[in-house]
Amino acid sequence: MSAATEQPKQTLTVTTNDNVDIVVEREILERSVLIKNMIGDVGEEQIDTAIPLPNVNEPVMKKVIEWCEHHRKDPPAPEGDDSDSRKKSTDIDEWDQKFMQVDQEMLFEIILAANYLDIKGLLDVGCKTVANMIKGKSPDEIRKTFNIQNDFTPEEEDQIRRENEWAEDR
Amino acid sequence: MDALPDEILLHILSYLEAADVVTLQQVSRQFLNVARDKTLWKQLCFEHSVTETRRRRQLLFSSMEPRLVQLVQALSSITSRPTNGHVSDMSDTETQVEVNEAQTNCAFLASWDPTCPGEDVNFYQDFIQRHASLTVSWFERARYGRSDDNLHHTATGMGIFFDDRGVANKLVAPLEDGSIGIWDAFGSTGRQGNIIARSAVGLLTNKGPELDYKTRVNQSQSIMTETDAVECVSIDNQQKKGFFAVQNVLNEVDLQTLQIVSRTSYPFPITALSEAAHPTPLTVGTNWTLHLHDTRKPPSFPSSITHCELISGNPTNSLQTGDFGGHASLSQPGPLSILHLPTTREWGGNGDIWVGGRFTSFLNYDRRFFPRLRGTVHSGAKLSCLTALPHPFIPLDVRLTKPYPPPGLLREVKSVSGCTIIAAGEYKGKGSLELYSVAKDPSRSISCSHSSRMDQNTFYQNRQTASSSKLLSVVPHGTRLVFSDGDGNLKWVERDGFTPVRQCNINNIASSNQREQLEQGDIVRKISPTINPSLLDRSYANIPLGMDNLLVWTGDGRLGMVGFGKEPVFKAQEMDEIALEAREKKTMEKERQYGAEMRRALERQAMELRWMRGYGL
Repeated sequence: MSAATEQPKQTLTVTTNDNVDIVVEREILERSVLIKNMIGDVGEEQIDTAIPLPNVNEPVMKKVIEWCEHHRKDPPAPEGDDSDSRKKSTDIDEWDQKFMQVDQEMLFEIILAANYLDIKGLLDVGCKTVANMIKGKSPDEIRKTFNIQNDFTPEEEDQIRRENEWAEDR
Repeated sequence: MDALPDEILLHILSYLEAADVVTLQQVSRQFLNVARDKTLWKQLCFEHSVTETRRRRQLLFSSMEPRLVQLVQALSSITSRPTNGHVSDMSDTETQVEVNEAQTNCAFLASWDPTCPGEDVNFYQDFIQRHASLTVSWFERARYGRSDDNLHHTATGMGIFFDDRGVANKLVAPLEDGSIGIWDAFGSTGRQGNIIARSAVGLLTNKGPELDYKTRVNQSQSIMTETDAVECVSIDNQQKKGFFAVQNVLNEVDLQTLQIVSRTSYPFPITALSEAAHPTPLTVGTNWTLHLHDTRKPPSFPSSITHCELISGNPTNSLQTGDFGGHASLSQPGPLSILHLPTTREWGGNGDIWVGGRFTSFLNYDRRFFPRLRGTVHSGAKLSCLTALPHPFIPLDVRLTKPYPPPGLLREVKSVSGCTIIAAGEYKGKGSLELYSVAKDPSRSISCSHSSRMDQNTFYQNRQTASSSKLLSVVPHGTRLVFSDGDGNLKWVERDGFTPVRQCNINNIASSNQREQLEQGDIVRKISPTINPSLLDRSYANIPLGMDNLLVWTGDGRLGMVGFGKEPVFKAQEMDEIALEAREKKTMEKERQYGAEMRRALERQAMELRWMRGYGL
C-alpha cells in the first residue's frame, strides 16, 4: 500500500454543526488553511477521524466545497498580511458570479464560513459581491437591500449628514 | 448583514471607493463606526495622494513592457522580507507578483505615512481636508460708528483665543482705528463670525477721548499701519490677556474687560512677538534688538514714558523696558518671526528661542543665558515665518531611497525624539520652504554652534517647487503643511515639504457672501489653524469633524475662515441681516409699547378731567 498512489484520492470526513458527515477529497479540503493546519497539527495517522466544524452547517459547507472543487487548481493564496493591499477591482469571474447568486442569508453564511475556514479566495469573492451590492446606492437603498434598521436619532442623522456634506453630488 | 463582524465589513469596505464609504456611514451606527475606521481612511488618503497616483501611472507603463517580471524580481530582492519557501516552490509568477505587490504596497504606504509613532490622526478628517472643496467665510467687518456702512476698518493683525480643548474660540484683532475687535470664531454665542466685543477707539494707540473722534481715528490709523508687522498680536489663553505691539509700545490688554493693563516701551519699533504662554516670558523683537518681557511683572500703569534710551547694563533702564536679562542687539535689522520651541516641560523646556527675519540666518537663543547668542543657522533666504512640527525630521536620503525606504529604517528615524523647524521665506525672488531638524542626537540636528558645517541630512530647502513668489506664512495643518505666498495662493504640501497635496487661490475660493466679493489680488498674510495641537494633549483625533479649519488674515486686512466642504462654515453677513431684522423688530415692539403707554396716559388724563368736571370746576 503505497502512499503515492493513494495521495490524489485520499479523502477526509468533516462533521458540520447539524451533525452531517461529508466526505471530501483531501486536496479540495486543503483549500481551507484552517483544515490544512489542523491536519498538520494532528498528524497523518489521525486523519481518519472526522473533523468537527462547529461553525458551519451542511448546506453552507456543501457550497464551500463546491467552490473549492472548482478552484482546486488555483495557486494557493499568497501568505502574509495583505490587508493593506487593496485591489479596487471588484471584477468577479463568471463562474464565481453565478456561484454567488444565492439569497443574502446564504451569502453571508458563506462569507462567515470562508472567514472561519480561512479560504481567502472565497472570502474575497464574497466580499466583492457584497461590495458590488453597495456600490452607487443611497443610504436608504442600502438599508432596504440588506434590511438594516436605521438606529440613528434624527439629530444624529442630521449631524452625520452635515459632516458628510462635502461628499455630496459626486 | 448584522451578523457580519466588523473585520469582515472592513474587508468589504476595502473594495469600495470613498464616496460609497461615506454613504455607508449614514446607514446605521454599526456602519458609521466601521466606515470611519482610521486605517481604512489612511489607505484611502494614501491611494489618492499625489505620490501614489504617480507611482501607479508609472507601474501601468511598466506593466505594458515584457520586462515586468524582471522588475518584480528586482524589487523582491530589495525587500528585506525573506520570501517564504512555500511560495518559492510554487514557481507561479502570478503568485510571486501578487505577493510582491502586497509587500511593495505596504512599503509605499509606510514611506508615504506622514504620521509618527504615537500620533493619533483622524484620517477621515484628513481625507476631507485633502479632497473636499474649499470655502471661505469672512468675518463681519468692523464699522466706523453706526452711520456709515461702506467704510470698514481693516484688521492690522490677528490673534486667536483658544478654549481649554485647544479649539479656536475667539478671534482677536487690532483694528486700524486703534481699537480691538473680538469675533466669535466657534459659535459659542450662536453668532459665529460676528463681532462680539469692541474696545474704545484709540485704545491701543493711547489716543484718549480728549481728542475728537475724527482726529483719534486718523491719528490711530497712521500709528497702527506704520510698522506693518505681521506677528504683532499674542494671546495668552491662560491669563486671558492679549499683547499688542504698536510701534515701539507693547500693550498688555485684559481681554475680559478690554482695558489696557500695562504699556511697555521699547527703544525701536516692535516687529515680532513670540507666543505668549504664562509664565514663560514673551520674546519681543524690535527692529534692532530682542527683549524678554516678563509677563509676571506687576502691571505698571502707563506712565508718561513714550520712549526710552537703550543703554545696556543700566538697571533702571532694564526695569523700564521690562527685560530682566538685558537685551540682545541684532547686527541686521528686522526680526519677523520668533519661535519658542514647543517642549513638554514647563517653562518652555530649555528655553529654545529661534528668530528669523529679513536677515539670511536664523538665530538661536537659550532663555537661560538670554542675551548670549547660542548659535545661528544659515538659510540664505529671507524668512518671514517660523513654525515647528513636534515630530522628528526625516532625512532626505532616507526618504528618497529607491524604490522606497525600508520600513524598519523609517520607523527608527521617526522614533528619534526631536522636532522640525519649518521656515518660509523668499530666496532670490522665489518662495522658499525650509525644514530643519532639531534633535537631541547631535548627528541628526542642525548644529547651532558651528554654522559653517551643516550636515546635508539635517535640513531640506524647497526653493524650486514651493512658489514663484515670496512665502508669507506657514503652519502645520493635520498631517500636512499649509503656506501662503505673495500671489494669494494657499498651498498644502505633505510634511516632507515638497509633495504637493492641493492648492487654491484666496481670490478664487467660493466665498460665503457673494455681496462682498474680494477685490482681486488679495494675499494671505497670516494663516492660523483653528486647532492648537500644543494645547491638546494627544486627543487630536477626538476633535469633532469640521472643527479643524484655517483662519486667515489677508493683505486687505480682512479676516476669514477657510473651511472644507460645500457649505461655508458660517455666514456672517447673513447673521448681520438677521441681527438687523431683530433690531428692527425690537424698535417696532418698542414703538407699540410706547403707543400703548401714551394711550393709557391720555385715557387717564381724560378720566381725571371728567372726574374734576363732576366737581363743577
